[in-house]
Amino acid sequence: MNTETRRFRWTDWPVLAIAGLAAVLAVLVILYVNTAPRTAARSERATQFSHFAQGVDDVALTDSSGAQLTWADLNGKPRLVFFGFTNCPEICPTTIAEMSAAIEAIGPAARQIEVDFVSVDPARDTPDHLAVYMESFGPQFRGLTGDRAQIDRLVSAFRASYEYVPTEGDDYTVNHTAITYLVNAEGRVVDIIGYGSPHERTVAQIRALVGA
Amino acid sequence: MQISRIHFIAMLAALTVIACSPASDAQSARNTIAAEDPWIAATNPGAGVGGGYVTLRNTGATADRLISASSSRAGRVELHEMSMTGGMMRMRPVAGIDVPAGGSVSLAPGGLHIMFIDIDAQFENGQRVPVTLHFEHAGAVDVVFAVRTRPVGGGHEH
Repeated sequence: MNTETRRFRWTDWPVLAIAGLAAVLAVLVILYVNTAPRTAARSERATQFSHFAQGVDDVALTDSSGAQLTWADLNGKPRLVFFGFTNCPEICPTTIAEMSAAIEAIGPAARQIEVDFVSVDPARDTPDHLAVYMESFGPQFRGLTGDRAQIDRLVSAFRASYEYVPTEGDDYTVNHTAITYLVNAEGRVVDIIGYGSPHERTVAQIRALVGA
Repeated sequence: MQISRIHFIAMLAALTVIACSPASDAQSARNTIAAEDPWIAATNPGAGVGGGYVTLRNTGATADRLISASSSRAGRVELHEMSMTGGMMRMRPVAGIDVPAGGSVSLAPGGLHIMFIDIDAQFENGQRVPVTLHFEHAGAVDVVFAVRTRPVGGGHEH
């Protein structure tokens, strides 16, 4: 009995020490794996888009209420920017619905965020028409339209593109970039959301934008 | 095993469609196309267009082809295919959509769809939209599309 207990005592301490060291190491490794690369990836991701949306402060647009504004006027609040058109059957309504659902999922913390839907079909998307289209999503959602030349400057500054495709008769549809840009209050693009990205990921990205 | 069960269910579905179809004898005799889960995504107010989706199953022994569509709710109906390349959404009109003999083709979000242009009013959840699909062999097939809210979140329904 005694020898057995003593043997356990002798071996217990080194075992405990090794186990303790291993535990500390494991915690450190988990902390490193979980946080360090993620924050690194996030800041790396942010710098990846730092050249986006530069030199467009003076781009003149009209919002869905009919107000004239410049791109710089929109600074001050974090926002989601998307290029589209109201005669878009799938991508645009899906994106707006998805952003609306994500903002709702985040709750009060996302109340400050704004969503800017920039029309790449300004001939058909008048401010009045955009107002009707965006209305049901609430006051956070704003349609923007304007001169083609002004919109083109914005599109190229976001490294986006669009093109008109003729359909039957003299009608046309529009091919366009289907990316949602996450812009901070200073007007910098910090992240992007691709079309069809999982809901949970979109929520996490928008959460990071609003600092929630 | 699984394939034969699916075939059996498809045949049952097709038979049900044929049995319940109020079409004339001449029409039902050559009605070899079954339209499964026809739906149109609810549109935003002010949107001039809507997208329709359906799985077309050809129960006949001859390959068929959807060549056009029409609806009293739209000024014009076209067949389109959407694709995504490098973050760019591209849309192109297609002349027809093949439905192989004994096989099926799916018109689904992200790919082939029926494009309703100049719609008379907003497509609202719960509405039923009458559509006529025109096939090379099966001829005109009347299908009622149900309007549904589009699922969001990359397939994750809310």
